[in-house]
Amino acid sequence: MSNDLTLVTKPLEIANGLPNSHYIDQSVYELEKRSIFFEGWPGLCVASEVPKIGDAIPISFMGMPLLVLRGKQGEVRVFQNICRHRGMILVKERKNIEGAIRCPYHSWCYSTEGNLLVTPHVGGPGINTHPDIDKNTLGLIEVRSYIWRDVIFINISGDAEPFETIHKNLMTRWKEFEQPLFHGGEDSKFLLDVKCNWKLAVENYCESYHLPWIHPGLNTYSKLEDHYNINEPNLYSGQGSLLYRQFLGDNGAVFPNFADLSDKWTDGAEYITVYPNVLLAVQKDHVYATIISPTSTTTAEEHMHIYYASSDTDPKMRKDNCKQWEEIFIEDIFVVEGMQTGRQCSGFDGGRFSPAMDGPTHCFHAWVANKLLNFNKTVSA
Amino acid sequence: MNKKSKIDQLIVEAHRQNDKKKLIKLYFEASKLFSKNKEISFFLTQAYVFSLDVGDDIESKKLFHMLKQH
Repeated sequence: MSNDLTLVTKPLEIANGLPNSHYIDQSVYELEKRSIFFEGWPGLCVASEVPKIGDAIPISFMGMPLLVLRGKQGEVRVFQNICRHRGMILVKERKNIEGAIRCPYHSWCYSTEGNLLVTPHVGGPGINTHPDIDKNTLGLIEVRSYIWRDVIFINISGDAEPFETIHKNLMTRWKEFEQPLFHGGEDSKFLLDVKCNWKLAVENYCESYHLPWIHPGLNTYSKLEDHYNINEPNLYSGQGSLLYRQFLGDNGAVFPNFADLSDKWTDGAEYITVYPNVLLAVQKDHVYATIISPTSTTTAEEHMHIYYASSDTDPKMRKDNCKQWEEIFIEDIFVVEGMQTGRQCSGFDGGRFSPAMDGPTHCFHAWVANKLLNFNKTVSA
Repeated sequence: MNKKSKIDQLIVEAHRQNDKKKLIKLYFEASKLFSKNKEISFFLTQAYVFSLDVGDDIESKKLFHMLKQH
């Protein structure tokens, strides 16, 4: 079968999906890592994971050890999680750093702002300086980051266009939801391990075509015809609902709505993938962010976080709401894992899209294909 | 057992227990048992590093000034 990516970038009606190799081939995964994840703005985690000053979480991002850290001024930053001396891993597990980050190997110490504070015995026993070791140039290596809707987006190469430039369209689209978000806490997040390439989880989220069969419960109140496709070529895609039925607790209790929303959101909701790997939703009473973290060619993690308009929401309702979303995401697992297994069939040509229903999926495929084609052009230039 | 051997043993034990506050104290005490600048600086440095690690600003400042004098 063809590996020609130009078939993917053809118009929806005649395009093929991404070839099998893009789901099962390690070399393609490595190419995506460099061209899509390191050159772009993928989501890493959420800032609510480091709520207190000094909170630090080490994250292996596609094999690269990173450290998310809330510094003394309250700002959240991302660093490469290694010492500038011998490249040793600095922080092995989630912790609160009260003082400095001390390398466990030779005890070089860094501030929570990433500055190198001391290089013990670097000039010999008891001599902590050396003319050739300039501490000012040896701070932790910072990874460019941008926080939007609590999601920490990172640009490892450091030379992508600014996040807010690339995503101006979506930020404008959802401007009404630019208001304080309150993470529901421990009862408002979950993690699912899926045995599929990261893209299949994204593709499944993009479209509403599967809802009647995979989420029959959801479909009783949110029918297929109440959904619309969202296609913004080269930017984002997803689906919208014209009939959002908000979560009801015992005795019909509801979560407070976000303030001053226009009529569109009274019954409307939108579910959009910020390429490459962040699944976002906006609804009048709660929103969520799911980060799809690739862990190998054929596995990924789904990290879900739910937010409310108020810090004061009912814990049982939050828990029940989270459970409902978790059940919906679990319903999708057999599909994404089934498609992953299907990619072992050599006769599969990437598949044909429904011209009416699969626009958002094609939009994502075309974005991936273009990123790879452009990267290959740059590398071979 | 002389004082140096004793404190050496206590330092090893504190390392084993990962008791950083104790290490600050012990390394500082150890620095007093030596007379050569290089030796004193070695132990003060060890104490200083652990004071930074635990975020004991007062101790860090004190040790930093002492290190500057040696």
